[in-house]
Amino acid sequence: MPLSTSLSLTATKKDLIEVRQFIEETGDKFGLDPELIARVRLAIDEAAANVLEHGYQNRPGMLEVVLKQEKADLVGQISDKAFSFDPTLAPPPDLSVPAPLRSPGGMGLTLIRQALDEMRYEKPLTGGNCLIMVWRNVFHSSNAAG
Amino acid sequence: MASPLKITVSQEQGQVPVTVFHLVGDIDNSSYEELQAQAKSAYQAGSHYLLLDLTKVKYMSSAGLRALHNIFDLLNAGASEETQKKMKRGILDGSYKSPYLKLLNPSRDVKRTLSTSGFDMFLEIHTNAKAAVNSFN
Repeated sequence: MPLSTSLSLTATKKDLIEVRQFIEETGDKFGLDPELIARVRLAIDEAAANVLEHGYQNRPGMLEVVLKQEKADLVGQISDKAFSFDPTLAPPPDLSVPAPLRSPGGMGLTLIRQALDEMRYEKPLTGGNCLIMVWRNVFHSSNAAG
Repeated sequence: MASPLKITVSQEQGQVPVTVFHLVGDIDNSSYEELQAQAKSAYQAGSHYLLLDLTKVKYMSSAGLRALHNIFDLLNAGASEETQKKMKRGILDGSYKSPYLKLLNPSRDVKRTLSTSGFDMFLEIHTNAKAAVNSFN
């Protein structure tokens, strides 16, 4: 049986800690390498923070995080009911400018992109957003039943 | 395990007086403003040299980078125009390290976040508390 688990909550940014705890506990349950768990935690925390800060404008809103096995890959999904926004189209900051000379902030998507192998966006018919993150070849073949 | 941020403050005497923030927990989107606020309070109370002890910080997101950047700007705010120009030249040629803000013992994951974003280019990273305090002058 492929592994799958989810967390659903009405969240504000105070709840990001619960999201990270969920990632850490799920990573342990799935038998993932600690270094990979750290990358998954970073990517999902950053994506969830963007939803809560920009999508919901710091008001409470629905957030669902799913972590699942798809064959040898680990897939993370973050769904929300905020206004539609495709973060995969957001332009990255100009990293040729040294950090202290850039405006503060704006590094979240750069950290996300560096922490995973693939990121896709889907717009559900029922509204909101679904961001899909993929880490390739995470599961060994003996465990890759999905 | 993920945990909320707690900050305790101590004063150390090296070549100059140094304020040390001992951080425990995660620096994320819900806690970075508290770090900025405490840095602002310390600055307004006369602290000009700040060492952030990250030994017990397991997680830092881009919100933590935002806080570091804002604290860096705050501590540089009083510099003369000539000093600011010199700093900018140093940043552009990669030779500048902040004399006012330094970091102690970031974890492997926090270090990766600092290097991905280029923050390790202008913030000194120390592994020994005494040497870190004495490096301010």
